[in-house]
Amino acid sequence: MSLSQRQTVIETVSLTKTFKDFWGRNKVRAVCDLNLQIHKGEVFGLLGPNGSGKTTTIKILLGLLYPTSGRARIFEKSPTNVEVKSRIGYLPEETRLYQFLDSLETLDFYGRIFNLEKSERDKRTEALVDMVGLGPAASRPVGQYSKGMARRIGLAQSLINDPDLLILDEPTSGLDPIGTRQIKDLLIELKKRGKTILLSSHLLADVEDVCDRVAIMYGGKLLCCGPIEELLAQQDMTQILTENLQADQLSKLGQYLEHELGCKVISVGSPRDRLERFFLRMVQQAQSQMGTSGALAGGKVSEFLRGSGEADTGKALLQKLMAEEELSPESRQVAQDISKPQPQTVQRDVLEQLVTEQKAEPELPQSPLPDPTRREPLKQEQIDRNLLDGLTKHDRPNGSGG
Amino acid sequence: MRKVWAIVRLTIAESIRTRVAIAFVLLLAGVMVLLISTASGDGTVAGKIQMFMSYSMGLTYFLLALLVIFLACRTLDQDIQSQRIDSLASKPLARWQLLLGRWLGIVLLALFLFILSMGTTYTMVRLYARSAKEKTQDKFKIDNQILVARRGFMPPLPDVSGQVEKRIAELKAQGNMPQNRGYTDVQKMIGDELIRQTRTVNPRQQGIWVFKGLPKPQQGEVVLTLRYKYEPSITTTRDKESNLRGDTIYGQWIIGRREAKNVYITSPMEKPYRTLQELNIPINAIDPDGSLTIAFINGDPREVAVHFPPQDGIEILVHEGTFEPNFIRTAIIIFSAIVFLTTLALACGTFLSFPIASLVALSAFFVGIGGNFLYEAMGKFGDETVLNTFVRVIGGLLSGKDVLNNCERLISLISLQIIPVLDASVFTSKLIDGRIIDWNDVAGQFGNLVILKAGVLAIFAIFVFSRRELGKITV
Repeated sequence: MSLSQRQTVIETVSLTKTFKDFWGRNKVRAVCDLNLQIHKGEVFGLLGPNGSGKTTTIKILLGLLYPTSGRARIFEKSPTNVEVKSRIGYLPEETRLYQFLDSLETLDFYGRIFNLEKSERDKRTEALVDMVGLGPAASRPVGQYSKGMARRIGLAQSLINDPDLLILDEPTSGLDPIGTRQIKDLLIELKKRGKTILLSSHLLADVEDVCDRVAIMYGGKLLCCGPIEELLAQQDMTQILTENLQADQLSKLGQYLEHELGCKVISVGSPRDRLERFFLRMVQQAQSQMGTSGALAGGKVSEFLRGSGEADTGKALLQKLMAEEELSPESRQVAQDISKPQPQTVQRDVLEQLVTEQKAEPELPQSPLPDPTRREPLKQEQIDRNLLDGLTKHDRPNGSGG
Repeated sequence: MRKVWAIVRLTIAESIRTRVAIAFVLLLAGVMVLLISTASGDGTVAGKIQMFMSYSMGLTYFLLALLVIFLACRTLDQDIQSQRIDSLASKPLARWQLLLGRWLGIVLLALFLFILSMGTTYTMVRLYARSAKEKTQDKFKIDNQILVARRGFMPPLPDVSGQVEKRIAELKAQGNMPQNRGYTDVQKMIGDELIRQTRTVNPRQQGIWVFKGLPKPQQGEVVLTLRYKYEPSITTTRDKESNLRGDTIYGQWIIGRREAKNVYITSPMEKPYRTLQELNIPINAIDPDGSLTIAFINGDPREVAVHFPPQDGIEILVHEGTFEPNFIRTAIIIFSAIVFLTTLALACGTFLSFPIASLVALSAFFVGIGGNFLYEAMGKFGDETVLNTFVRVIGGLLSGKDVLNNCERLISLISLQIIPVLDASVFTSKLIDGRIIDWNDVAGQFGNLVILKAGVLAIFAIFVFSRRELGKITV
């Protein structure tokens, strides 16, 4: 099934939002003539610098703001439709919860809003608190949480209804690398189950890791939109990965490429590990040796979100089977690719080890196997990306819209 | 309904855990302790009870009104300003459910605090009553004039319409009709004066009034109360010859028909004027047909005419019920005003920020407290209605005359129609006087404040809030 034939979950048609001042004069055009289509089972990234209209778009999609012109549809219904919201999970840009409630009460409250039965609420509440690693702090009021801890409980509340559509606005903002990694794992799990995810983020590496398609906005307008591989592919270059080569072998290879094939060698170097993976290894070592009063690394993705295990009783199991049945060949292919022993999967194992507090192995954990399907960025690209990430994250003022 | 209850629980938890409700309870407890330790009234236990009830109920109402206005104005604004509303409104929760939950949460919290406070008031009143010595005038007053529910009967007003028309015809014939007064005004003035004359007893004469429709005497009911207040035609001074004090009137009451078997004649009494007096009379003075004749003999030697004002000059109070149901009915009426204020404040909070919403709600509250004063002022409007004043405004706009004056009167008239009387002292005064507040009063206040006016405000609030953009964006 082609992308266009899959069910459209989010659609905007010439969506425009203009904010007016007290006298009704146009002040800011936050979103301008936005046309988007997000399909079932997609992880869609919404990118753009500060003030590009990302958060405004999301708030229109949730019925929190109304479009000045154009229209937005979610599951083919108006965003203000109350029933359609039972299928949506939303993590706002800033986690603002009722500060006098603790984690369990917070999740129980939102569970009630979703009309969940008490037994189901209790089960999900407990599972989500464990999943986001807030078990030891569950009885503390949310108002006493650090930003990262509040972010975790914010994420948990967005998942209480096991949503079909998850909208995450800057989900990794304020999270440590472990939490960030965990969110990526979660997104992958949800994607496997055919869930649709709209992800807005400044952190380009996060988006690149999990998104199928991205849209880049600037000044409220859509600059480009498409599959991430297509957008990032450099068609005029080729990268070859081999085992480590000696200097003379490199020299011979270079001569062969230049003289025999007429290709110019631009750069030669060793592939670098990503800082995120390095950080995780270090923390894993530390955590096996000492405790912490803060948030833990977080547990496995909850069973009810994975749609397996104990939660797979009756209806839940049927839903899971149905969800997998409905996957299109394209998305199934993507899901299979992801399920291969890739870095992400290896890192999930690392996370599990962190949570279970196993004794540190005498030697460092093995480096993840290189994924032959994955393009390792060149050195210069890494520098550029890190610089971009650093700039966009650093520049972001508190509470500003996207 | 589970969703609404979730919001209700959240609202109550918020009020308690942010210590707003606790601060209110402590404040109220402090006020109660202060009242208990200082209330003394006129030195009698009866006076102490009346003073304590009046102040504790009045303060409970006032503090609770401030609390609900504060909570209701703040709740939505705080959700929106803190952007907590983003998480809430993106869930399957209709806007009306959010409003209903918030409203119900505040009302239930207020109800709990109200019951707590009224329960304390009732307990203290009963403890005070028990402390009064048996077989004393004080105890008699507490049992028969305060902790009871008595219905008041006024003597029927005479029909003076014929005399009024005759007098107007005479004035017209003489060309003496006032030019600056409307016909209705003149009619009312003449009627009032004629009625006043029927309530005036000249020196050495008697005034007779017949009350109709009183309950027939039954076993066990022993006391009726004649409540009266008179005014002199001239200020009386001390009279050495008859040994009468100043500011008093000397007279005598005859209860029952002279020709009937059960007629009671009091001794001549000297009583101060312009103050309410009560006289206990046996129930069997009522005739079998439910009528009661009362006469006042003006025996004052100082040649002073005595006038009994039509509003509260002369009244028979008949024991009709007990204190407890009366107390509960009064409480329901007071709480109806609290419910109205909650709705008003929440409605303001749907489209105004917290400071402005609370300013509007507080203004309405204070205007409502003075509602009775405004309604009395309404007398100045005579036969003016919203409609005919509106017509006059239009006429004024066309002719360019009296535009400002008519607009001002129109706004005053509309305000009086919209803002309900929120003066709880009307009912607490009745309660401490041992007067019945019946279910008709309750239905009237509840219907007007809760069903009608709060209902309209609720519809308005839902309409506005459903259309409001709740998302906040920094642009």
